[in-house]
Amino acid sequence: MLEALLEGFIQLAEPFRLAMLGLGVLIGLAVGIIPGIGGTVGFALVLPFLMHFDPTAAIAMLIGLVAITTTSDTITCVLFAIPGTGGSVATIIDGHAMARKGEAGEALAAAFLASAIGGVFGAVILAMSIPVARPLVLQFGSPEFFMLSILGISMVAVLSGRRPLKGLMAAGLGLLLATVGGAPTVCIFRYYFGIPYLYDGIPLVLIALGVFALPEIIDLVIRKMPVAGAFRLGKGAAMTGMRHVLKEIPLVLRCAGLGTYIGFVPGMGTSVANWIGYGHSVQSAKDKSGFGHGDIRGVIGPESANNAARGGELIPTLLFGVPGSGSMALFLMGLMMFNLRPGTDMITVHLPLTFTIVWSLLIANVVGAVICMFLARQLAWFTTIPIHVLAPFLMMVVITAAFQASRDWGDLILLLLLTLVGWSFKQFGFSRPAFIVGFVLGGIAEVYLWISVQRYGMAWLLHPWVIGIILLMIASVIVSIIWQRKGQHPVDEGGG
Amino acid sequence: MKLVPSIIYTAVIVLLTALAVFYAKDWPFQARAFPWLAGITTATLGLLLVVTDIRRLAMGHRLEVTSGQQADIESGYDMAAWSTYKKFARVFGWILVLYAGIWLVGLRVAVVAFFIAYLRLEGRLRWFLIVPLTALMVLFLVYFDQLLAVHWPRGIMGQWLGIKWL
Repeated sequence: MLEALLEGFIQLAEPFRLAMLGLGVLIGLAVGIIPGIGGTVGFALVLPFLMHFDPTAAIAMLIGLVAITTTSDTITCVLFAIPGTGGSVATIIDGHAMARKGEAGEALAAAFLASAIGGVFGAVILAMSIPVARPLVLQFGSPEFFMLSILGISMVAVLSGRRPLKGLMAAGLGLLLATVGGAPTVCIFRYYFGIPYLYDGIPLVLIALGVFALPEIIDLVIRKMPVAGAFRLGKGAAMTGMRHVLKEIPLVLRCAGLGTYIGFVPGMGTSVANWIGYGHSVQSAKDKSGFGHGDIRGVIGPESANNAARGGELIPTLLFGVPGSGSMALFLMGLMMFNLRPGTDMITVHLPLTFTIVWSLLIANVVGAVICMFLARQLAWFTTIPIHVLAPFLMMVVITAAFQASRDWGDLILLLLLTLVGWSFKQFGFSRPAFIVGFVLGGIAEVYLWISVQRYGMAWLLHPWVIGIILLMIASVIVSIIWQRKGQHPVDEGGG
Repeated sequence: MKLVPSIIYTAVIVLLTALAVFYAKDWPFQARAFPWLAGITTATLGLLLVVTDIRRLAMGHRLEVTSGQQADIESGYDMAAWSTYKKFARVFGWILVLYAGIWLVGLRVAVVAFFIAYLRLEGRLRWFLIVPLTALMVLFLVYFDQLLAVHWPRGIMGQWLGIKWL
């Protein structure tokens, strides 16, 4: 295990791979700071261009990108009360309040350092979970992995949408769409409607671009985002902010622990971790009067939690093939593009690569926080770019990226159709993360199902772990529905 | 979200899913099992949703009931407003125009022309801003072309005229 840990670092330490990691961090900083873009869209934009790269370098870049969006998104939160991504909304409460008091620099410095510590904590937990989970994963066979796929899909479906039924429907539609193309066990092409382009199914990257990227760009244009004006950071506040973090280290670590746990649960993600971190910061404080009016703990707690959540999300994604969120589903997509199967392979044959991912996460969090610390003012400038300048540029990138899938006009036509699907899903409350998870896992799940049936007949349903996972799935769905029903109200705000 | 548009949208999904299930009826069992599992489950859930929402509508409610939690990115505007559809159609129209340009003259030329037209007509920028921004865009295209060896869709004019880069 230690050898693999070291080998993972040595594999990453090649100049080209480090450069790719650095590039991923820079792209992650840019997409994190522009409201409405975020890690998922960033993934969708870069994935098509990485297909011909060395897998280790490409994966380092993807990790660099996703690790840092929850650091850079703080800038717009604090300065403009605009969340860069969904994982930073809670930070606005006290972060922007501090900016209004002229303490923006202090808030940002504290947020960046807390993010770095939280991110490193998440990476360490990820590394430590590998030897712990390894015996368990090695016991799993195709029946267990099939059930884990269904568990992951059901949890993301129920937790990630406003209505569990719509989330489950979205996941079901993703599963259905994954069946387009050649069937895995018989020689027949499904749902190709006589179009040769569809023989190989729908390219993964088109799902990402069409369902996420282009609808978000269209939404930005409709909302005329980003809207940001002048800002002041203040001078000399960085050291004060960092001192606050060092003083509140127990809070940082507790929130990082909570964030890692939240990230581990499929369907929760950084947005929930951010709020849980804020809630814990308030609850654990002796004097709560400052919260909501610019208490720095209201920045430190949520920022530590949301960065740590990324490490947590990677645990089920890498070890069990169950992506915890939309961005992890796309990361899983990236792994599959390089023929890397999550689960057993990632802790045996590709164990050094798994540790490369850990090192990438660790380094990206530190490097990203340092860059943010020095370049916050310059990065904030991105948010002042009018959307009418940004939109055509992003459209060009998306369309070019889509064409790389099969280099066929079918890619562009499918992109348009999927954009209509993605945009309407968003407007009518169907969970796109659930749809993507269903699509990504659909192919794998079907293969596992048929292997299980061929090896064990129907007796695979009686395997102890299978029964355990089924019970866990039923329990989690019921608990989620009950929990969500407690928070029910008619939609009359935001989201349509 | 208002109930009526939501019901209609869900009903359309149920119909399409049911058609997909029906389409698979003549396939061998091993080919149709998974699509049927996914399709029948989805259609059933959709019917349940439609029935629940119609009952709410009959009781006089006009809005959906939700948990208020959304892990997806929020829209921030009213989907039911006609102006939203018009804005969407406008942006989508621009994408279709870009597609028409790509079909005609290939992506490289189409994207530059689209960029200029969009900045001028939608962004209402002045030429002294459009020119340097377009130059930046062209540099980016060159980067894509030279460094990433990206493939570009060719236009029919390039094929008719025998111009390789068009």
